[in-house]
Amino acid sequence: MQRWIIHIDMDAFFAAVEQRDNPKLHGQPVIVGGLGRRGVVSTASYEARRYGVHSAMPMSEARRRCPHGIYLPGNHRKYGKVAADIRRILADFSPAVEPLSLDEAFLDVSGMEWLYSDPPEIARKIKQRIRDELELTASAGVAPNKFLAKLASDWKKPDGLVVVRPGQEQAFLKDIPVSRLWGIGGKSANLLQSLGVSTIGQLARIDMGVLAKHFGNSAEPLRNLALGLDDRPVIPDHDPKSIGNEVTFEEDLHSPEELETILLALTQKVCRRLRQSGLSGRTITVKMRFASFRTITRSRTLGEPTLLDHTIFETAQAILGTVPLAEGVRLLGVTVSNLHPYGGQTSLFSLEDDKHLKVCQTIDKLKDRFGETAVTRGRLLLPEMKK
Amino acid sequence: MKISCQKDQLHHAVQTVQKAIATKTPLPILTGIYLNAQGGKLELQATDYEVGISCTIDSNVEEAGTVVMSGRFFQEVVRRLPGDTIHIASSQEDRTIQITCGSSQFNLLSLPAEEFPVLKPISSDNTLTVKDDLLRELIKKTVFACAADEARPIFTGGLLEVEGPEIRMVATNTHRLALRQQPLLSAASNVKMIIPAKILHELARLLVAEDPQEVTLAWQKNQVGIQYDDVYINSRLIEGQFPDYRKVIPPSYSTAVTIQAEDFLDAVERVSLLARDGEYNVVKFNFKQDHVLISSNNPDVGKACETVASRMDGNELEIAFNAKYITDILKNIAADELVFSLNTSLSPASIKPVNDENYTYIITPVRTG
Repeated sequence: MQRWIIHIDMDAFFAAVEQRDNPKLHGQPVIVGGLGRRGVVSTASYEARRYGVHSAMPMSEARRRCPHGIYLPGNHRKYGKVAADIRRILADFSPAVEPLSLDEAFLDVSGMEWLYSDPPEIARKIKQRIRDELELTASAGVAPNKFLAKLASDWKKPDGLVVVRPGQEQAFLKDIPVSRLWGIGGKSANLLQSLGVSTIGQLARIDMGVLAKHFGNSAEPLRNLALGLDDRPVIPDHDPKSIGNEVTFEEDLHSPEELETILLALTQKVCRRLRQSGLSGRTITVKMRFASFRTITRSRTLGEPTLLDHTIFETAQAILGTVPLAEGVRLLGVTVSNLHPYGGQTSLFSLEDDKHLKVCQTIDKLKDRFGETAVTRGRLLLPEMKK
Repeated sequence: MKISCQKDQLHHAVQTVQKAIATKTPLPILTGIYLNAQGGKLELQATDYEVGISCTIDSNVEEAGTVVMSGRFFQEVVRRLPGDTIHIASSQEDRTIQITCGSSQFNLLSLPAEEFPVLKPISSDNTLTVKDDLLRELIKKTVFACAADEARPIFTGGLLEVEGPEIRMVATNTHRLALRQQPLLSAASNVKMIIPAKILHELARLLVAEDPQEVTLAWQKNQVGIQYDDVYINSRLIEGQFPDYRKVIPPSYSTAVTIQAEDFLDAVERVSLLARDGEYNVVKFNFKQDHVLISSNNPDVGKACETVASRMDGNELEIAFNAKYITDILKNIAADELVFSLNTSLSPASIKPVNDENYTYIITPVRTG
């Protein structure tokens, strides 16, 4: 059976949602992202892109390039809702939908030729429904595999629809720079350049022996991509491998007490998300980035998986205590991995834990009803009170 | 070294020590079996540093000496040799060991015997002597409840405890607990030690002599030596504090249900066929006045239910358990009837043979919904 994969990518998603909901923003350069001193751009509208503003750019740079732009902090709750609407539309077209992020997803529509005249017809219908129901535009790529579908959706943005039919793979890839291949970063691109390979077409023709000499085991998959071959399946509902939160500070932090307080706030967020997902985890990782941008991660694995605030905080705190603070800390993060479904198996020796879990669950319920600030730890109030 | 011995005796000795042969080790010597011949005896030893086992048999020793050879091959060869009398002779020149029996002959390369860490029996005044069938009973009724994963080492062993006139063994993985106790016939001093489950399984396998015999345990620090008949086992003990198991045994129950053990085991095994899913294996039990309704529901596969007759004293109750925790005890209960005692659908329950106060098995339920 011929495989057909569709990649749907929303056009300037966050900025487009803002423009949709506020007519004054139509036609304006809208930039959504972190507005603090160290913020970065999440999304720039196509108007802003003309000024050279793009996502992941430091906000200060964006402001320099586009001083009259409209800068917004973003409303992630709203984007999440819109994303859920998009997923509902996608789910009407295929049971196999793999979301990559809020604004992009793969659909496997193989074998649906019986239902639609032609697979690109499905992509056209999806785009139409997103436009009609959500007043937003999406770009779509339709191809025999994920790799080509993703390249295709990016080919004619915004509002594009690019189809790569079986047999056209190599013609489509021929002139695309190798840096667009998955797994090719700056170093590999430079290495390929030195071998005289700058386009995917050249990569498809280079001698395998030469490629294997420089890329070892990755030579084979690399060549397959260059030939337009990719058999990765569309995997609906990725189970999360880890749950974590991190924060970049406005100014570097030096005091261990302040760091611990932030750690407590992060841990509470992470634990709440663990419990919401019905998961517990065994490995706790603390990530720190220092003023010099040196980044470290330190982990500890517990005897048994847990979803309790205090157990995870105490572990994270102990990890933090082992890291010498020679310089200021720019970023702090906590991640729980080694996840297990939180089963209902009760235990003989953890009556204390059962009590703690009940407290956590009650607090969760209060937060669900009255908002995240309804109940909090005294320690987390202190920074506010100081101000 | 030059000896001869009976094949069935040598086979018994090899079988006894083979569990201690190291399989994954950077030290090749530990993959060997050590033979020491002197004064009419042949001693075999194997060790992986965690456990060491020695077995001594009668032998006709022409020339005393020690050799070490591949445990794996020696074991296979001895098992398959024809005839009754085995001759073993070592040759210094080419460092091989010749094994002959009937018209069959093997030459196995030897390992350097001087490198073998020979077992040093524990000489300690701390000793305890028990009958082998009693020890086997303690182990068989409890060791299955140990934790399989190494996350918390303390639960990968069984607690052997002597307290006054009682000897008992306790094993738990924190979700279930098995306790077997027996009166001691002779007085002994109080002791507590946690023996690795692997050793306990091995002991239960080895303690099968037809004639009752005595087993002597001697311990010091984190080591225990176990001596019976012609066998000596040396093992590390698990260090740490075993939690207070008495606290988790409910003092009383509001409901007691009496069930035919075999019928119940069969029914639970059948219903759990559809419950096997990942780590949990959840089966629901609905205890009614005159029967138990056992059911499972796996959305991906289907559902099953079965009823088993029972007699209830107390209140009707619905509760869910990991089916394995139920079937494990039912396979070891050795009684026609059992009593399933419960309080609420979220509190620990007990399963024990009717009229047996010496066997306690506690399981914790699974929360559902």
